[in-house]
Amino acid sequence: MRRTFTVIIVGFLLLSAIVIYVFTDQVDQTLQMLSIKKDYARVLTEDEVVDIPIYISSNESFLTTQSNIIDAQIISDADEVNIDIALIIDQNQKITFEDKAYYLFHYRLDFSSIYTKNLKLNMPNAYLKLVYNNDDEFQFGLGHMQLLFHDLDQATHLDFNRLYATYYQGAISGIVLDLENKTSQTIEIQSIDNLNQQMNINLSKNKVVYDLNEHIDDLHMYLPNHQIIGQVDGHQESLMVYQDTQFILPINHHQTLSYLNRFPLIINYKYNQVMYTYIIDDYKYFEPISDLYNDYYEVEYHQYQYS
Amino acid sequence: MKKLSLICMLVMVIFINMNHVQAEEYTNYQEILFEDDSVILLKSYSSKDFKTYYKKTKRSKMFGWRIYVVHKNEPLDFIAETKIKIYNSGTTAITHNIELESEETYKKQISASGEIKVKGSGSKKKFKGSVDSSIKASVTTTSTKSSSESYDFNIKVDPRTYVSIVIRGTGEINNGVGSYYFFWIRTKKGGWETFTVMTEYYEIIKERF
Repeated sequence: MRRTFTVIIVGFLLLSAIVIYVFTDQVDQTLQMLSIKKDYARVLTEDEVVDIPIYISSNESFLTTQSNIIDAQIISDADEVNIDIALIIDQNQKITFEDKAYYLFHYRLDFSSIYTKNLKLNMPNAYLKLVYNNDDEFQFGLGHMQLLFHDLDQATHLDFNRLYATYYQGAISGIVLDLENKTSQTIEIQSIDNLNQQMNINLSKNKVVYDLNEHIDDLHMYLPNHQIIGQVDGHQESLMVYQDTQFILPINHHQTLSYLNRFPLIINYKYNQVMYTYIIDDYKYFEPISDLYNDYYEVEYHQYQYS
Repeated sequence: MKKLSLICMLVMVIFINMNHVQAEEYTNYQEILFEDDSVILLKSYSSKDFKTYYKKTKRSKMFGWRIYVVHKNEPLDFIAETKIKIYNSGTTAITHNIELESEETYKKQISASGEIKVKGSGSKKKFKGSVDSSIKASVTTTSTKSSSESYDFNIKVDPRTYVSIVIRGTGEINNGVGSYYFFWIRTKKGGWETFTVMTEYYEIIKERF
């Protein structure tokens, strides 16, 4: 009797274990992923990388093993660029988004195989395409991506002493730039490119301020008529830098507010009748608490089922 | 008389110690401005404030903490300390690569006073004992991310020049007091505070020295 009872108990436990295993296995067969379309505007030196945040519902899956990726590309409507995934970095962060747990990974993009000095890549609506060794393919939206490959070795006529941004509803409304003219002649700035087509610096509406040490919080105190949303006029006035000059450079967002938080300033100027370029590396002006908890960026949902 | 003075001094020492704030980074910020002028930090609570707020936790219970929230999710602006400083004391210009990283520990901070204590370090820091879950049940704090995104900012620094990055930002604060009851008798009491950074804004400055 005791033996029969033992057999029944063992049998029941075994059956339960199988049911639990099968059930758990079925749950693990679906992975949820989130990618963020947050736009990228970067000047990359030869060994510089770009980290792309991807949120995955499991902290251990074949998706986050770098050696499983056999091909990686950035693709846009017009271009396809081959890149390497240098690393997949577990950020050791579990976050809850829309009642679901995700783990943050950074996919580190390495462009060294295509690095060519002065090459500028403009890839609107870009995607990161990853092909895994089981032939499964993923496309994660990145937003607009503009890259300039440059070693930042440049002429020394200009330098900056101070750089920060002013804000309107969480987006950058202007740049405060204190420039130092290191020559004895006037420097004429003809354009400033910030590697983004959704928001541009409006040189014509600039304001020069002298001896201003305090921090400017509100652009409209100095440029009360500036319309933040609207196209920049075709012809842009030049900025004349006679000496050390602090400029307030308003930004125009073309259709809606862009929450791009990191971009370079590529300053094209004329000195002694010759054109030069002075690049201020892509500076991070602000950082929100999270890519997910505000409405700054478009979140893309991905689901992956495997057997 | 000597004995009496000694006892008085001892009582004073205990009292001062009980209200000593275990300082966190945010308590040393250059400036914290609340949208609502009536909001104050835990370290600014007066003895009268503590007395008033402890009264709100007077209703005894068999076991556990009774929490009173004084300020809940109050928005604020702050100016933090200088994040980074690069000095070039040499005679030739240098090129420096700034790596700017925001730690979770910086973005979400806590402090306590009295018999509420803080334990752990870094991102694992929390209120010691069951008061942690009692506070979490009373207030909601936004999750933060610690960004370790690759960030290389290449900058040229002239001789006898230093570079600094000043952080401004927005955040929110929760603070209040709590009393612990053991068989309907209050055995512990103290103040608590959580500080969460919502957005950081960076200003870079180069100056000659």
